[in-house]
Amino acid sequence: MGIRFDLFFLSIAVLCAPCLSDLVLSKVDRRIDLTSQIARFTSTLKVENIGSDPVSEVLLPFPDHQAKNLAYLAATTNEGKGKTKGFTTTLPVEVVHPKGMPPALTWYSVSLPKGLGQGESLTLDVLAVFTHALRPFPEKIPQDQPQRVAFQDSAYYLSPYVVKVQLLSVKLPPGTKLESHTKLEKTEVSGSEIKYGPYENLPSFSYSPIVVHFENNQPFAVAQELVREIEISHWGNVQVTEHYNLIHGGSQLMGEFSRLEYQARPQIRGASAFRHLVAKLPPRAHSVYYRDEIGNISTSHLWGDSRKTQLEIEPRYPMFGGWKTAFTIGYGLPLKDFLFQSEGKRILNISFGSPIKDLVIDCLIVKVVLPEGSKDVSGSVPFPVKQWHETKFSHLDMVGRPVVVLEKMNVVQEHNQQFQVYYKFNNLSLLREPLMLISGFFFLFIACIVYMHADLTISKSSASYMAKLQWDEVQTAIQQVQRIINRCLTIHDKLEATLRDLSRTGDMQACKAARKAADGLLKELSKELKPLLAFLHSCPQAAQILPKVEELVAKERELQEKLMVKHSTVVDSYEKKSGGREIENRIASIQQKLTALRQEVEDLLEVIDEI
Amino acid sequence: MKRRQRWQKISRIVIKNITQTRDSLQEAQSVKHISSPVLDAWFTTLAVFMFAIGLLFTAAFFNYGAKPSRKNQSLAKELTTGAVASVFLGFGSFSLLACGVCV
Repeated sequence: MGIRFDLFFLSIAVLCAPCLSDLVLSKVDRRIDLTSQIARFTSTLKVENIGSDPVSEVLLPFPDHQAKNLAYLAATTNEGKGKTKGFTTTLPVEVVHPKGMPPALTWYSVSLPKGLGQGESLTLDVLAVFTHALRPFPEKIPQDQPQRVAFQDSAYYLSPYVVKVQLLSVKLPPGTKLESHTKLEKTEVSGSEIKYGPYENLPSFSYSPIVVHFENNQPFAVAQELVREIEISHWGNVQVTEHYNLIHGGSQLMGEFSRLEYQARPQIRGASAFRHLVAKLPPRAHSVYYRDEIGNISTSHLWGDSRKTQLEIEPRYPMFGGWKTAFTIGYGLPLKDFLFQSEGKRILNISFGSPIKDLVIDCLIVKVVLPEGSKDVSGSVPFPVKQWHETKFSHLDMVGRPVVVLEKMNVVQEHNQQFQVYYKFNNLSLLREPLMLISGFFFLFIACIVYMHADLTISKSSASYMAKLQWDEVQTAIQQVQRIINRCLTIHDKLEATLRDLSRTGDMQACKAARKAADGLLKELSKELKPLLAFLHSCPQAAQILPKVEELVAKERELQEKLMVKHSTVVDSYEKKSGGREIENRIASIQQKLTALRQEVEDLLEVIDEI
Repeated sequence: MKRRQRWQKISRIVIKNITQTRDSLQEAQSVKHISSPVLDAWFTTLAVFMFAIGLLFTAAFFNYGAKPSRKNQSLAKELTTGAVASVFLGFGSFSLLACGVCV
C-alpha cells in the first residue's frame, strides 16, 4: 500500500518539478544503519551554490509516512578543509512549509550561519533517526523462529535539488541472513552491507522505492511510557525515580512459550528475546533500587567508577515479542554535581533521556520537582518539548513544591543530552522545614505549660465549700478541746488515787508532790485551751456548739477547784492526825458535788461527741 | 618522556571537560557549584547531639514544672526552657530525617 502510493507520488513529482535551481548537491553519500531496532540515516551532502545570490538555507524533505517516525534530526558542518578537522558546529533545523511543493512531504530547513556565496561549496552532515521504521515481517512467529524485519526507503536521495553523484549503503547486523532485497541496477551485496549506486545526474525529487527483508535479533526494547521524576533537595541530594512500561516491539510470540526449550538452547529457541538491559548512570550515584509492584527485584548488578555507574538489570522473565513488563529504578545523586549558581539564578543541569542504552521511548515525561519557595521556574531543552507547571505535595510541605513537566514523544538515545532548569531560591527558605518541626515541638511545650498552670478543681469559692471547710476546722478544734478535758479528768483521777494511797500508806510527801505536779499540768492544759476557745469564738459556724463547750469548760474548772479543796482538806486532816471519820464528814458535801459535777461533765462530752 | 605523556593526557581531559561544559551550558559566565550548607556525612552526628541536648532541656523543663505549686513560679523561665528545648529537638529530628534524605 505504501509502495503503491509512493510510485504514484513519484510520477506526479516528475511531472511538476519545481524550480530550486540555486543549489546543487554535487555529492551525496548516504549510510543507513540498521544494526539495532532504530534506523539511523547519516547523509553527507556536498552543497554547491551555482546561482547568483547567496543562499542561507538548505531544505530537507521527508515523506510523510517516514516523517511521523522521525525522532531526531541534526545537521552539522565541518569547518576547515582537508586533513585539519575543525570544530563541528550544530546548525539549527526547523520545520517549514514552502509553497508550490509536491504534497505528502514534511520539510525541514537547515539555516546556514553565514550564507553560502556564489560558487562556494559546503559539506553538510545530516543525521536522521527513525523509530519503528523496521516493521516485523512476519508479524507473529513461534518461539523457535528468528525475527525478520522489512525496511522500506528510496534508493535515490529525495531532494528538491539536482543531485550529481549519489550512493547509498545499507548496513545490516553482522552475521545475519538477508532474506530479500530490491535489485536495481548497480546493486551489490558484500557481507552484511548492501550498496546501491553510484547514480549520476538524477533530477530533483527522484524516488525509487526499495525494500530490504532481513533477520534482526537485536533487542527491540520499547518503553511505551517512561516517567522520570527528578527531585531536588537543597540539603544535598538529587533523587531520580524512573517508572518504565516496557514492551518488546518486534515480532509477537505466537503459540506457547516453552521454558524448558528456552533454557536448553536460548540461541535457537528464543533468538529474538532479550534478558538484560544496561543502564549507564552518572558517577557517584548511591542508594540505587530496582523494584516493581510486587517488590524488590534482585536480579541486578551494579558497579561504578569515577566516570559512570553501570547498572545491569534483568526483568523477572525474558522478554518475548509482544510481552510487557513494568518496573521502577531509583537512585540518588550528589547535589553539587548538578546544581549551579550564576547571576542570582540557580541552574539545574541534568540529562534528559533514559540512561538505558538503545531504548526507544514512545512517550517520555520528565518531572523536575524543586524545593518549596522556588520562584521564576523555567526549563530550557535543546530540542522542542511540551512544557507545563504542576504542584506536588511531599514531606513537610505547606504550599507544595513547584514541578516543571516536560513531555516528548518518540525519544531515542540521541536525546540523552543535558538540559537546564532555571529558578530563584532564597537561602533563608532553607530554614522553612526545620522551623516547622521546631514550631511543632514548641506548641507541645506551650500545651504543657498551659496544663500545669490551669486550675482544674470544680468549685473552690462556692459558699457551701467554704462552710464545709470551716466546719472541719471547728470539728478539729472541738476534738482537741475534748482531748484536753479528758486529760484533765485523768489528772483528777490520779489525784484521787493518791488520796486513797495516802489513807493506806500515810505518805504525805508523795501526796504533796503529786499535788504540785497535778497543778502544773492543769495550768498547762488551761493555757492550751485558751487559743482553741478564742478560735471557736471567732468562727460563726461554731455558734451552736459554743455555749455547750463553754459550759463544759466552766464545769471542768469548777470540778478542778472542788477537787483541790478536797485534796487540801484531806491533807490538812492527815497532818492534824484527825480520825478517818472526821475527814469523811468534812469532805462529804464536797464529794457529793464532785460526783455530780463529774457526771455533768461526762454527759456534756457525750453530747458534744454526737454533734 | 613519561611526564610529557602524562601532560598530554591531562591536557586532553581538560580540553574534553571544557568542551563538554561549553556544549552543555550555553552561557560563558562563571558558574559555581551549589552544595548543602551541612556536609552529608555530618547529619547523623548532628542528629545524635541535637537530640541529646534537646532531651536534656526537656528534662529540665519538666523538672521545673513537676514541683508542686510554689509562690514564685516564673512563666518566663518556663517559656525559655521550652523554647530552647524545642529548637534543639526540632533540629535533631530534622537531621534524623535528612540522614535518609526524606526532605
